[in-house]
Order: sequence, then C-alpha cells, then structure tokens
Amino acid sequence: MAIQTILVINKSGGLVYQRDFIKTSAKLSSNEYLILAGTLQGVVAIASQVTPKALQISAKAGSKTANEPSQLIPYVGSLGAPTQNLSDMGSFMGQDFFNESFASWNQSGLKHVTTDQLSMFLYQTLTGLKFVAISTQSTTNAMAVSIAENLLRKAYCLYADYVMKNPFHDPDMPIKCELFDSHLAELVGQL
Amino acid sequence: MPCYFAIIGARDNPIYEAEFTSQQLNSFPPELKELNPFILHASLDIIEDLQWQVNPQSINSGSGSGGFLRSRNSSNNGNCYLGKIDHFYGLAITGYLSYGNMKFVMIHSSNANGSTLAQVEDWSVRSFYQEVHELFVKTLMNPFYKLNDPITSPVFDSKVRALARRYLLK
Amino acid sequence: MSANSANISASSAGSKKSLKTFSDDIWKNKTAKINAELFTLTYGSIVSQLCTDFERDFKKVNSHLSAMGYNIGVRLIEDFLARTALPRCDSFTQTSEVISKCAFKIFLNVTPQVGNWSSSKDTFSLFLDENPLSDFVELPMDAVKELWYSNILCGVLKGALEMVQMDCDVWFVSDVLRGDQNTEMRVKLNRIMKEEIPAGED
Repeated sequence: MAIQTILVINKSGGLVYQRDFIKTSAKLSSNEYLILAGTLQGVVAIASQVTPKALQISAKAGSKTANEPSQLIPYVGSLGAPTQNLSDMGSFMGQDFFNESFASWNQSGLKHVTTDQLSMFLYQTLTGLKFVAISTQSTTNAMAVSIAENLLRKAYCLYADYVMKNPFHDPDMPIKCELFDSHLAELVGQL
Repeated sequence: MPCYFAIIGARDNPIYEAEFTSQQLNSFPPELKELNPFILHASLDIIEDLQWQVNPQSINSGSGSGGFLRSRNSSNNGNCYLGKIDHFYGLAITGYLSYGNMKFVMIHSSNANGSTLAQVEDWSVRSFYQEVHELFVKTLMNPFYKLNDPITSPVFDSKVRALARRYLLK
Repeated sequence: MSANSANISASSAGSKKSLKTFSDDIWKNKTAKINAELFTLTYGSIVSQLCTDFERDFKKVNSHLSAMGYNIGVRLIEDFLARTALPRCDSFTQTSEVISKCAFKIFLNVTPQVGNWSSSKDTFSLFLDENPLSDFVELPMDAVKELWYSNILCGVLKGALEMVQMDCDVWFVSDVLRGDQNTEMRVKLNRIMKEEIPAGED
C-alpha cells in the first residue's frame, strides 16, 4: 500500500495541509483540494446521520453496560517495517508513538472510501481535526483500514509535536512547518 | 559567644546581616556593636587576597589541600571555607566565599569584654557556613529575588538564626 | 455516578488497566522529560518579568498568565489526545479524574486530589499537594494578596477543555504561597458545546 496524498482538515472543514508523496500526472488543483476537504467534512457529518436508528440505540446500550467503546482499532506494530527506525520522534519516547490498541473517536462518521483505483482513509480527533490518507490501492480489507488509522494517529502525534508546539503556527491556519513535512515524509516512507 | 554574621555581595555591598546572641551569653557591648560592620569590611581585603592564592587554607590553618577553585574531579564545597582570616583585639573573624563571589563573614567574640581571644571551632563554623550557603542558593532560585539585592525574606532570616542556634550558640 | 467513576478503565487501551497505571506508563515510558529546576526557573522568570513589565499591577499579571495558559492549553490538548487517545468522558466526574490522574500526571508528574463537588456536580476542586511551578518561590510582600502565582494552569485547563467542547471557568481559590492551608483550583463547567462536537461521535 503506497500513500499518495495526506490531507489535514481543520474542525471547520478548511484544508490546512496537503502533500503528495507520489508524483502523478493527474494532479488536483489547490482549489479542487479545498473543495474535496469541504465535501469530506459534509459527508462525514451526513454519514453519521444515516446510521440506522436501531443500531445507534443498541450500540449505546451495549457500551453502557460493558463500559467500553464498541470500536477498538488494533495496534499494528511498526506498520510492517521490520524495526521501528524513525530517526526522531520528538517528545515521544520508547519504541513507538504508542503500543496499544485504541478507541476510535469516529464511530459513526465516514472512515473509508474506496474505488477500483484508490482508497481514502479518514481519522478524526476529539477536537474535530481530520487526517486523510489517499492510497493508490483499492482495498476493502479491514487490516488495511487499521494500518491506515495507525498511520494517521502517528501523523497526529507528529502534528501535536511539530505543528502545535511551533510557537509561530496559528491554530486553524494552513500548516507551513518544514519539520512536520520532513517527519511525515519519513513516516510515510516507512510503509 | 555572641556572633555577628553578614553576607557581602560581589560588589562589596551588604546583603544580609544578623547578630546571634542568646540569653545566657552576653551580647556585644553597645559601643562595639556599632563597630562590627567596619571590622567585617576591613577583612574583605584579606578575603580578596586569599581568593586568588593557590591554597588559602594551608596558609591559614595548615590543614586542607587544593586550591580555592573547585576542581573538576571533586564536587565538595569544602574549600569554600576560608577559616579564621583576621582578628581584631579579642575578636576572631572567619570567612567563607561562594563560587559566585558572595562573601560570608562572621565576627566571633569570646565574651562581652573581649579580654581573651575568641576560639573558633572550625568544624561547627564550617557546617554553619555550608548550610547557610545552601539556604542562599535556594534564595537565589526564588524568581522574585534579584542577585546582589538585600535578602528581606523572614523565612531566610529565621532559618539562619536556627542554624546559628544549632552550630554557634552552644 | 460514583460507581461509574470508580471503575473507569483506560478503555482506549482496551484492557482493564486503571487510569492510573495507564497514565503512569505513558509518563514513564512514552514522554520526554526536562530538568524540573530548569522548568521551575523558566516559569519563575516569566512571572517575575511580567510583574516588572506591568509595574506590579498583579491583576493584569494574573489575567496575562491566564491568557498565556489558554494559548498553551489549546495546543497542548492535541498532544494529550495524540498520546492517550482516551475516549470522550461520559460525565464531568470522569473528566475530573482524567484531568487529575492523567493530564496532570503526564505533563507535571503530580496527581492533585479531586474534591469539594458542588451539589449540581458541575464544579469541583483540584487540591495540589505539590506544585512543581512554585518550588523555591516566596512571594514579595506586595504580591501576597493579589498575585495568583500559578495562574497559568487555569488558562491551560480552560483552553484544553474548550477544545474538547467544554466551556469551563477555572480559577484559584487558595495558594500555599499566600499562606493558605492548601492550594486549591476550582473548575466550573458552564456548558457542553454540543453544536461543536465533531460529527461521527456517538
């Protein structure tokens, strides 16, 4: 699975970051990317509303009794690479950014779109930020989805370090941080 | 024995002073008391001389070794204590120099009339200085204290007096 | 509600680990640390410089510290969530536990006591037994009555909670630096900004 593009969308649906990792002939214009970001924002919201009512209720009741979220994303280790060898993980220590499965913050919204040519994965944070990865392979494999979510949570860790801790970055504004660029490229390069 | 203690800053400005007396021991007679700051300041020259000598302690007391400056291999602050550096009639004067060039000096008096030369118990005086030095470092860590300003904190004062009771007024 | 808060498991880990073990692990193994004295002295020099800059108008210093904290909070919350991936809290009681056992632990390595709940369960206190910001500090005489030395913490909490859609007021009611018995912060939930909760959460 190769990642073609990573996008970051802020909580009001504005595109704040876009980066291609594979050179393709058909490239979207920056305006088209903005439209894509806005559309995704809307589709996520609508997807959560089309969840069948019965499912919503049973999910609620289920999680209340078990006191445990219905959806857990498994931890997939070092994303397939034999050893974790990121040169620098910022303020994160240890072998990896995290090493346990984690709860999804996006339980009824859109997570995964696929066509015959590509797949798109969405990871949404509690603050409303969305990380989007577009991959060059079509997949409906659950494993691929969790790998993508692991990758995007790591991108979120990098975002927390190199974007939010950059004192010259204004929240909700486009991200122009070289350190974030280079670390994200390294992370994606590991796949 | 009553003592008069002062901390003198890097620019020879007084930063803190205290007189240690207790009920059983007489304090300084009034006419001498006023002289104390002068006597102390007179000894500052001696401290400055000692400061740049290779081995101030061996010159004074014949004991101890090593120069004043902290060696890379030893982290003790034992050689900050300069021992007895001066005397004035019956009074003995001891000194201690911090690495930041703060001078801790003290006048020891044997008794009220000063007829006999005051005896200095090196061990307890040294411990006193070392603990005051630690308190001083803590004071420096207070963000509201500016270096070379007088120390007005009542906490510092009461802690120094407690140390004096423990080490000096026995 | 008490039964609920008693067995909060760090469900993000999917195990039955307690919030405390979960946070201890993150603090110990996953978080880079700095020298505590460097941290304390840095904060101290900021506060004392603000006192000078505002000509010892301590009310202004308080509000400035809080504003600085707010800017930290809105950024720090992302770090907190990236590190912990904790799910949204069901109740404000649970929020208080997460703040004390997890957030304070990870960022300051202290665990304040939670207590003094209001009857409507929308206001609680955090009792800071130790405060890494205020080691070595002695307030000057003129500041004792007015300056809240650690007021930056109020701003941090307010900013961070606002980013997870909780509109809160946070303030200090007592501080050992002022000669009080304990250091107490009060957190009051005004409302949950439901309209801003991202779509897709249940």
